[in-house]
Amino acid sequence: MKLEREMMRGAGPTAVLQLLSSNEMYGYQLVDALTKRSAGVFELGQSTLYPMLYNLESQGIITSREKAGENGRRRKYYRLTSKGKKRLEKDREQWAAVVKGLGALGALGANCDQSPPELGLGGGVA
Amino acid sequence: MSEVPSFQRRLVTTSFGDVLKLRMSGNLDWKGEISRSGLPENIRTTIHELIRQSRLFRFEKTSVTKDLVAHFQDGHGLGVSYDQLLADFGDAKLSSQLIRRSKQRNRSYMMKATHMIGFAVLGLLAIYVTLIAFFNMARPDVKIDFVAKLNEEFIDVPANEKAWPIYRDAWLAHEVPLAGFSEIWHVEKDENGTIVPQADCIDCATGAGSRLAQPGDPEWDAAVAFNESKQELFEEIRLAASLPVLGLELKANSNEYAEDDFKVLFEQEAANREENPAEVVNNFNTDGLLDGALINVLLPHLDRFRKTARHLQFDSLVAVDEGDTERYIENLRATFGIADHASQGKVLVASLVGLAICDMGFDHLEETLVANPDLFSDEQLLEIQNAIQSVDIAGLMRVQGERFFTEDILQRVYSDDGEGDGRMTHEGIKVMQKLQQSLMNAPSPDMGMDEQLSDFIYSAIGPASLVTLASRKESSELLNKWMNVAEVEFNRPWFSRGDELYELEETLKSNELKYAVIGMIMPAVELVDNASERACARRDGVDLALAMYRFHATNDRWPESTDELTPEFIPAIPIDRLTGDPIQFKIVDGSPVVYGLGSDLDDDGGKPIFDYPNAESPKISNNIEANPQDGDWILWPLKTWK
Repeated sequence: MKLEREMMRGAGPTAVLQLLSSNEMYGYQLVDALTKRSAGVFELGQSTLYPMLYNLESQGIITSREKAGENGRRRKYYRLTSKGKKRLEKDREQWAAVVKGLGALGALGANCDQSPPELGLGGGVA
Repeated sequence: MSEVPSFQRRLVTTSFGDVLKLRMSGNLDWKGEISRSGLPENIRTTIHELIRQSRLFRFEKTSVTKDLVAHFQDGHGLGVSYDQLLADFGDAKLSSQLIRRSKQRNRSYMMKATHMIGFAVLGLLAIYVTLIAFFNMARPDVKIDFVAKLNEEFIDVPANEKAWPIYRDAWLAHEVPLAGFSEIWHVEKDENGTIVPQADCIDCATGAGSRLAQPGDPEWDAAVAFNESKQELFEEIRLAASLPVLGLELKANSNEYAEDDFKVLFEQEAANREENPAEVVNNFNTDGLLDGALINVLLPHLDRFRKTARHLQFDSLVAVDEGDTERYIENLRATFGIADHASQGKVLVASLVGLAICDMGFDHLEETLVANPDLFSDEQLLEIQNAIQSVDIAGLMRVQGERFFTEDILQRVYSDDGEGDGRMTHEGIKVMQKLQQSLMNAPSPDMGMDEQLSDFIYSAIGPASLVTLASRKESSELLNKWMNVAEVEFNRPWFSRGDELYELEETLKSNELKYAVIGMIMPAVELVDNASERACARRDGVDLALAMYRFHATNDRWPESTDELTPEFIPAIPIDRLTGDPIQFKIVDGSPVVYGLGSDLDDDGGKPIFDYPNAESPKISNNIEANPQDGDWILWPLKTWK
């Protein structure tokens, strides 16, 4: 299942921050991880990933550096800043509240009372 | 294998920091990044278009290019086909727009400000380039020959009714030098041969500290004999002075004068003419820009008139000595006729000369009458008084030529849209520069640059004048308004003046830059206005004094009040031009003193005011001063106060 555009606009940055919370990642790695680890829920239109990264960078939430990867190819790696970590913490709380609220309303259905297993919006990575 | 970029390409694709380090790194060559990526052509094209459409700075484009190239390379490295990667990438155009927005947000304030300033500078530059083209397209269009207009008033007057041919022929026939006759002057020299300035020097500039010879002077007998030999000349001068129209056709190019006119007007140049017949005597060196302009009309005849008035004055001295009072009166009339002819130049400088010649007449009459109160018969005194009353001072203020002069300059400076408006031109800027040099004796602003360079500079800076200077219409309207007011004010005594003239001058002062053209060419009205008011007051004072002398001749006593004078000896008591009340008189040491109240506006009993200690004559206060001196406005005796 893919998120609708408006939903993705709100959740996408949080998903990216979550991925970057454990280690730095480059562009395609983020695309790949988002698709695989969210079971396709956060399958980004790849053309929108880079504008999102540049926006987050302009807000000081993430930062980047250029370095050679394992295959020797130079690429840009992104990681969270301390501001980004705070932002992620806040986003987590807000999403938890959203999920809780929706759950209380029964909007999540019987099988949706927990976070997606790999992305771990509840705090940890499974 | 990719091509090695040229030096030029590397130069324009190298960051400023690297250029400073002399490293032509080509580190901003985003197109090179794409072509060296090894990606298939369809992906390279997609990236290229995306980057091109983003319209980002070069360094931003390079950074995004690297991200996208890495993106496709990494995807392919993980086993995804290029076609799939391209399909997964989505809408490149949308991405380009989003990337542009996000990168713009990423820019620092400094960068944004620099960007905006850059755009503003470019915008202004574009506007200025347009103005340069607009400015340099305009040309002045000289449509009106103002020299001809100046002359047209009398051009149809028959030759035998014009005074100029008589003056000219008389001066030529009697070989009158432009500097005047030296034989009639008294000169005192010290033991070193240096001329000692005389206390009563009357023409210090030309007489070099001398005065006209008087009875008792060593030069007197020779001067009288010389004067006798010139009686025929004076007859002709008196005849010319009696005609109403001067009729000298003025020329902008001195070489256009007829030979005899040229000889009289340009004595030195006429003598040199045989050597250099083509030499043009011009007032202003304007490199041909003002050929035919009114400003190039010289008025050398004015000095002729001044000298001629002096000659008549000396002849009058001799006439008094010989008891020939009729000749004296004829000379006095001729003096006022010459003053009128001088002012027919119709510019204010001509009016000033006319006023100065009138003053010579007033001075000499006063000197004569104070020294010889019984010289003239009752009838002659009346004749003299009539001559004095007929001196039309306001009529001497002929400003038509000034209007022509200013309009002529405007038509040579501004373009003409056919509806009375126009804009400053390249030639106009040059004309103004030349005028500034000539009128104000200022050094050339081009600082010796060659003509091409100064032309280029005028072309480049001239367009600024389009936004700073008044248009032709604005200038013309203000000038005309000012002239109209000035003409009306000239005919009013000081006490009845309005403030309009001064308000207009304030407008000019407070918009100095806007009306710079007018500021440069506007006539010196204050100077002439003061001279005019002074002359009017003087004439009226002489008129009242003559009435008193006539009263004395009839009654063998001086009048006790002005009531005794009107209307038999004077139709009405002339007004004090500062107050509007009748002027005053008083008998001091058996002689009349005629005066106005002066700038302090109170009656000090005929107490004179002097401009400075040991001044020859009391001051005629012709204006209400901010800090007036205590005293009156002495009108008679002025020249002979002591």
